[in-house]
Amino acid sequence: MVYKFGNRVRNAAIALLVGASVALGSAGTTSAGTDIAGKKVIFIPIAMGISLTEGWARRMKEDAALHGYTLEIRDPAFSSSAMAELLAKAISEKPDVLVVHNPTVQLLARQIKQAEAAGIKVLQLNLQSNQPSSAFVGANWTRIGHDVAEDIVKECGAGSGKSGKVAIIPGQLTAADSVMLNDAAFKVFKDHPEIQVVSNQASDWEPEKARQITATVLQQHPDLCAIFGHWDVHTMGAGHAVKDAGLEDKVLVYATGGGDNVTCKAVEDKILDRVWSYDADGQGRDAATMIDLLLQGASAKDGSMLSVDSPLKIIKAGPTYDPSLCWKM
Amino acid sequence: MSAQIDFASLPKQHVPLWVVSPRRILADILAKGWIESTIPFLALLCVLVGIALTTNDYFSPANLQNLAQYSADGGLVVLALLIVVAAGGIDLSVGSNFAMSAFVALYCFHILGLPVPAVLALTLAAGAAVGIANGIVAGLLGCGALLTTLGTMITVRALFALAAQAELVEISTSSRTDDLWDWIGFEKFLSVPIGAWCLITVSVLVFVLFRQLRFGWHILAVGGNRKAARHGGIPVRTTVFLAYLLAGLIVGLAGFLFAARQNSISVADTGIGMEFFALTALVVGLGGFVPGKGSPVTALIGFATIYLLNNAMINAGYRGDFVQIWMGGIIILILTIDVRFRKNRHRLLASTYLDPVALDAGSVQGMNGLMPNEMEPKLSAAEILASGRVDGPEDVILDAEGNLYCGNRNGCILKIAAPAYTDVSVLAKIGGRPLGLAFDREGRIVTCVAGMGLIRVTMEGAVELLTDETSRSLFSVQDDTAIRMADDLDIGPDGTIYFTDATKRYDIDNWGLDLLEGRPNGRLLSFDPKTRKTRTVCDNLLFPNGVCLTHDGKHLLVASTWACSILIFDLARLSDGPRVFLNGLPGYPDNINRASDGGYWVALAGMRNPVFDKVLKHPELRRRMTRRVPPTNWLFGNLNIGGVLKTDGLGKVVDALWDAPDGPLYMITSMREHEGSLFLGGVTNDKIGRLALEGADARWTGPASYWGRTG
Repeated sequence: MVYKFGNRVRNAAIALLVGASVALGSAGTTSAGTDIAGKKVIFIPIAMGISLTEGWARRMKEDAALHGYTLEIRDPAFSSSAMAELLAKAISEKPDVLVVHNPTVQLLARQIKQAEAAGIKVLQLNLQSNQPSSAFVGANWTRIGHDVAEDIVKECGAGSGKSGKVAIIPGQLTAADSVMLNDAAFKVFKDHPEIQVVSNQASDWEPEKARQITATVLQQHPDLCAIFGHWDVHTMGAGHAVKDAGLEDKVLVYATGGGDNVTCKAVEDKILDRVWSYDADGQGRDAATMIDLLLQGASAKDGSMLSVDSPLKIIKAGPTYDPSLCWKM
Repeated sequence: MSAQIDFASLPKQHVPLWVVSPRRILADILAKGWIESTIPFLALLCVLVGIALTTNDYFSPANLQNLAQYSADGGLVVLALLIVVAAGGIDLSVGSNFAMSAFVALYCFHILGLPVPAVLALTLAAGAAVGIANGIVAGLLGCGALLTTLGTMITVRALFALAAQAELVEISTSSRTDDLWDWIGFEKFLSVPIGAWCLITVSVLVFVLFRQLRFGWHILAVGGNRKAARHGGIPVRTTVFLAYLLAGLIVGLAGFLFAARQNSISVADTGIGMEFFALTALVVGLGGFVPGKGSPVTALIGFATIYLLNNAMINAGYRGDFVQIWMGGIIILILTIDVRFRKNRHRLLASTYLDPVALDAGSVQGMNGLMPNEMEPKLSAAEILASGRVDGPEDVILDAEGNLYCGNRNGCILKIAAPAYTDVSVLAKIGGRPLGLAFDREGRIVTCVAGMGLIRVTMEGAVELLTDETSRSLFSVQDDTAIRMADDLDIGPDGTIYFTDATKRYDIDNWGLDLLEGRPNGRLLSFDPKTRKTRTVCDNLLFPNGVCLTHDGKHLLVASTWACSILIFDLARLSDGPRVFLNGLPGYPDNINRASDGGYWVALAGMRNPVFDKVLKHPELRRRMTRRVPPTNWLFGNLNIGGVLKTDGLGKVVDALWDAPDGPLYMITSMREHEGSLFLGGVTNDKIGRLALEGADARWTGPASYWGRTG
């Protein structure tokens, strides 16, 4: 089964698209690239070398080449202190747009504020900060958390005949996705006392750590019903632990992720069972579009954050499995 | 009786104002202590130039401020590690301690809501607590530093992970702000970020600690040699304990700055790998893992090198793992060059130190009928005194009673009692290598001691250092204030002591290299006992050796050994420089002393020969020889046979006393006339010679000649 939400662009963004096209039309230009050529965009991800960020970077680079603005990528390689410093340097270079991928809701908050104050538009990609900025493109974590929790309740809750035990494996407790996913999920679980969260330990985004956590949890709770991993990459470690314990048919492994073909392969191999994909490839394109708009001077009328929710694809093992839901690098 | 010396009519001796030689400058620089950090410094320079060439506005003021702001906590951790390593330990727990301190700061600020000064105090206490734990186990209990800090590293990291997992969400959703907190984390004072001020302050304190403070010296002593430090009375364990404590405090401060700046921590990466980053910085700066070395400047040079390299590469947009590969490669390259350089520096120094120049002493003059092949060897008639009981009497001197005094190789002044000259006793133990001797007006011996300076010895054996340094000469790379090889002296009528520092570049053990160099490396100094001031009378003389006040008390004779000449100074006009009293000697003149007939005795320590005269004219030959040929095979001056010349009062050679080819006195470096006899000493001899002089004044003594008849 596939849920297609379509492009859910919030009102402000729609209004803006319309406004922008009107503006462009009145200027009588046919190419969007002419007035943003030569502008400077800096992208600071948590780390390069993972499908998520590489997928975004590919689309943004294509867009930069098309429209003639420059896109520079600075790679802190999972080091949060390096990231903060890279951002400081980037701010002092005064680019037109900064694209940041917040590892936690707090780390870059002050700097985002500082950048916005200096007139740099900050686009937050997929993971939000406590500090709002010009724009956000990314998954609607609250919705995902809610939907996954509902699904878990359906599979493990009253009447399912299962234990109701759930293990949650966040990437980092203070990362935006984990904060919101947990928030939403616990709200759902609160109405279903039969669901029991037996573990909520962060993996630091590492598959190996997720594997160890899962192996321990499975020893303590062999009747575990579901695992909710917040990111597919590290959750694969958890899936392997389940498989190693020979429980792949009994424990449901849930994850969210960018949904590249590695994820589909994991579903085929019964490492993951259900993945809520926010489609990194599509996010890359959304981000590129948002960059274009920001470079053209777009902003929300009331100064609030322009926001684009990524459409979701649900990749599920079983007879409805559809490998075309995944994208390839 | 003394002849009238017409100073103005004598030929002037040219003395260079300063000696300029690129090779010498290189050698002098290589001998400097700070040259140790050349390669780290050059590496930093290369990194800076490389960054400047490949980037735009990396060194813009805004980015320099960023760098200063973000590097401060790393720099502090490097300094903390430096202190522990200097004490001979190692601290692997700095990264964990750093993370824990940052957590404590954030916890105190966001959860407990304490005022910022209290947050700082508690954070420092937390850092110090880890330092104390390390200090107790590694210092006081004496367990291995590596094992101990590995243990604390893991324990503290686990504590941090537990605590952070529990509190992190609450910390990151806290909305508390505080002006002082933000000021520390983000603001600048005099356009320098607050963190950087902390780093600067701590660096200066560490510098002062290792330079000036007793505790710093104790740390270095313990790190340099634990056993020796213990024997020296240093409380080793306490010192190590305090070093860890201090390091913990500094790490605590670093954690506090980090927390104030980032306002967040991450269980996954805060402080992870920091111990290795700091160790790498230290190794790059110090050229290895060297205990007993407390140099914050070099450590920070190493830190700046790898920090900037890393930062610039990341900023250039290279992938993180790619950057790490390059970092590794570049660090290995720097270390390889550095280790090679340090290993070979002394060789490079040795091969550049000797800096020969062409030297032409001119042909032998005024020796007609007086050369060894033209006359009898008069010294073969010398009587041998104290044979085997004196070791190296470079100079000999006699008091009014005829008692003989000389220095020896053990650093003593010996007294050989008249009249039998069989009773040898030690008058005074000085140390060093006593060379020239003179009696002052009060009957005390003043002696030049190579390696020490000018020393005065009373007849009771009391030793007093008069001077061991003079003013630094202009344009010298090496500090040449120390008197390196005080050689001979004489005392003017007003009590001023004139003495020679034969060479500023070589010690007593390798003065021979000064001959191979053939440069004017020596100087004539004076010491005024009334003002106790030492003055450089004339710099850049060619191995100034023997000094003798002329009979009229108005001039000073100074032997220039390698020039085979004797110079004369006018005491009334010393600044006019020397003139040539006598040149073209057949050998290398050493000490000069008065003769009873108004003339002078000149000791020849060795004889010239045409081959070596030729060698001295070819500096490149000498340079190649000293580099490629073992010292035992070098061409060298003939310094094992000599004699004594007698001149009249105006510098004409009138007689020569030669040794026979088979001795008995060989290298003669000094002679004194006393009541019709000539006493002969040699710097390598184990005896003193006495030769009866025909027709000499049998009542003449040196002290009487200088200070009037006594007794």
